[in-house]
Amino acid sequence: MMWRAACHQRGISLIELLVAMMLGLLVSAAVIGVFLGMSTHSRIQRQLARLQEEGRFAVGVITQDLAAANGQYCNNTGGIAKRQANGIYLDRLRAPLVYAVDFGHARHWADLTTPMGNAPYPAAPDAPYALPSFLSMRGYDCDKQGCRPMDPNTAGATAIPPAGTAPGNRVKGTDVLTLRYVDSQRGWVIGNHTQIQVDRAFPNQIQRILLAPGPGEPPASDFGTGHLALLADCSGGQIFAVDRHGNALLPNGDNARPPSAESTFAAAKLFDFDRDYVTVTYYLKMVDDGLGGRTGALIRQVNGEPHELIHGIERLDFRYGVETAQGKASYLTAAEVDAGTQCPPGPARRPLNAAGEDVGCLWRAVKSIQLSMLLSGHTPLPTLRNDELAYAYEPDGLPDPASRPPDAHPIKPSDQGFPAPLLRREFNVVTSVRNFNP
Amino acid sequence: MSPTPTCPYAIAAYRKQAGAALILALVLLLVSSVIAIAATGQARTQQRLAGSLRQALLADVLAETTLRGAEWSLWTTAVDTLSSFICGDDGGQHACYRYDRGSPVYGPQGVVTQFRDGSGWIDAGAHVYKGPSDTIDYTQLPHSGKAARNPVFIIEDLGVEEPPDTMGGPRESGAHGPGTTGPENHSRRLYRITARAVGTNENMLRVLESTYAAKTQ
Repeated sequence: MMWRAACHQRGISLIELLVAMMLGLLVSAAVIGVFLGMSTHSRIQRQLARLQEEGRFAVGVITQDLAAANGQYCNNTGGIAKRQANGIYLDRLRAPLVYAVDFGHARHWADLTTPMGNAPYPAAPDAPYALPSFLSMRGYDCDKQGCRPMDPNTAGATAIPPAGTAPGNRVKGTDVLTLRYVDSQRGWVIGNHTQIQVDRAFPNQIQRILLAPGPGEPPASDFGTGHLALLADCSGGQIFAVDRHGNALLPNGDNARPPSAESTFAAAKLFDFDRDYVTVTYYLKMVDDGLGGRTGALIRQVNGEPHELIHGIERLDFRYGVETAQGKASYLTAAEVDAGTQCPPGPARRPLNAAGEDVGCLWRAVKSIQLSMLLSGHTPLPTLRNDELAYAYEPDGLPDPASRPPDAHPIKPSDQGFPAPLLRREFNVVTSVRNFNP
Repeated sequence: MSPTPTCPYAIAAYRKQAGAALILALVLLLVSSVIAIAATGQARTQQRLAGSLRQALLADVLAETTLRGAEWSLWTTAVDTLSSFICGDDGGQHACYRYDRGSPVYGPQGVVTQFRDGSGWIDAGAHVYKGPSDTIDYTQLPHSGKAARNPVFIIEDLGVEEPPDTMGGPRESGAHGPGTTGPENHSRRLYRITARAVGTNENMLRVLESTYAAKTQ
């Protein structure tokens, strides 16, 4: 009997079972709650991490290009410093001289929306002239309605798609920037291998250039048919039309005057102008995100050839820091830069339009560029709360820089064709352009 | 004496439960550790990415500083009427090389070619930059701003500055440095400076180049 009594303890009563189940349920509910919270949090964290990774990468690539903007080979150094009315000494800008008659046309340029002679820009003069400033860089300031000073999508001339919300379009309300620089890594060094020959009868003119690639230089056949030649040294440069016969480049009749041969060259180099004067355009394109929705892709277009850098970018804005002849520095929009006439002294022999103006001269006076981007997580998260959805974007120009919900911004994600429930973060960076001298 | 009542089943049951609890606890611990490690892994990657960005910026700034320093030494030499900047085929003062495509330093394995185009850390034939007064050791800076190596630079004397198309009109000339005598003064030379710098990690390398015109005596 005693034995049986002791064994009664192994059973549990109904009350005990109910209490145990209750406690178990409470604990499980707590655990599930914590788990759900963790999973949402981890999804947000993963998106933020990815967003920051892509933002950092994009900033790295773009700032390298921005820092190189307007770069010539070795001759960005200015000339004589002149005393201005306000007492500041300024140099004259330096730009390669253009001898080629057929120069400022889309044939030799990628993404060119302002060919020479297209009002208000000046027509090409008959005599050799300095590479015009309005060709060296070009920004487009775009909002929901359109772009200023012009639409970058000009029929046939640019490979920049029109604005819209369909895949393949350019994202509405985002800026476009085209910048150009000489890729000094390319080309042929004049001296030991590649030589310039002159005719004894005309010692001031280049008769021919014999291309003989040195170590690491491209073969002579790399010089494109019908391309212009850029002969530059550390004092200046000249752009002229040539015919290639085997390894020899002969200046042809399509020049206003035969290109001049200098008695001394400082570290001269010859470039294929059409290819080595690199044109880089940044814009945003609508792409399919693979989940049935749409997202923005950052496109870096080199010489008309687009390359996608990152996905999940929704806004792109540029502001240009310029210094006027009075020494005043300010950040301007693309339209203001294009309309500006208060330029530091321009290069000698720059082409002027009928009104005697050097239109677009501020494009070469850009000393710094401010880049702003708005990046989004790729996958919509319907569980996001309002405070997580809110973001700030400085170029909106709102007086209060606090974060606000997506619909409180002048350009809403819905205007651009993007879903609302996404994480969004702003990236800002200022790059100084050292190639402007003075 | 009657035997002490015992319950063999109950004791067996207690033993079994104790074992299950331990295993259960271990399994839970394993699961939570796996989750924790996975979570820190992502954070670690992020931290490394941010770190490498910081390294790149540090190397950038240091290379830029070195360029400025070399430009400054060119400019101060131009100001001082008693001294001049001596450049030669073998480096001369401040690792300044005279530009000459035929010279061995410009050959495929030459010092200048290697310094400008080579990959990895190269300091052969270069000048170590230690600040404007030559007293700053960038590898010994306090806190985390120190570099793995002191930055180095070379200067190339490219020759007299002479813009093309000089027919007609006054000749342009660089006038960086006081005491110049106007456009007729031809004693201005062009210098190209190449700087190499690394961040705290010496694999993060930056090479920058600038051109500078200065007056020579």
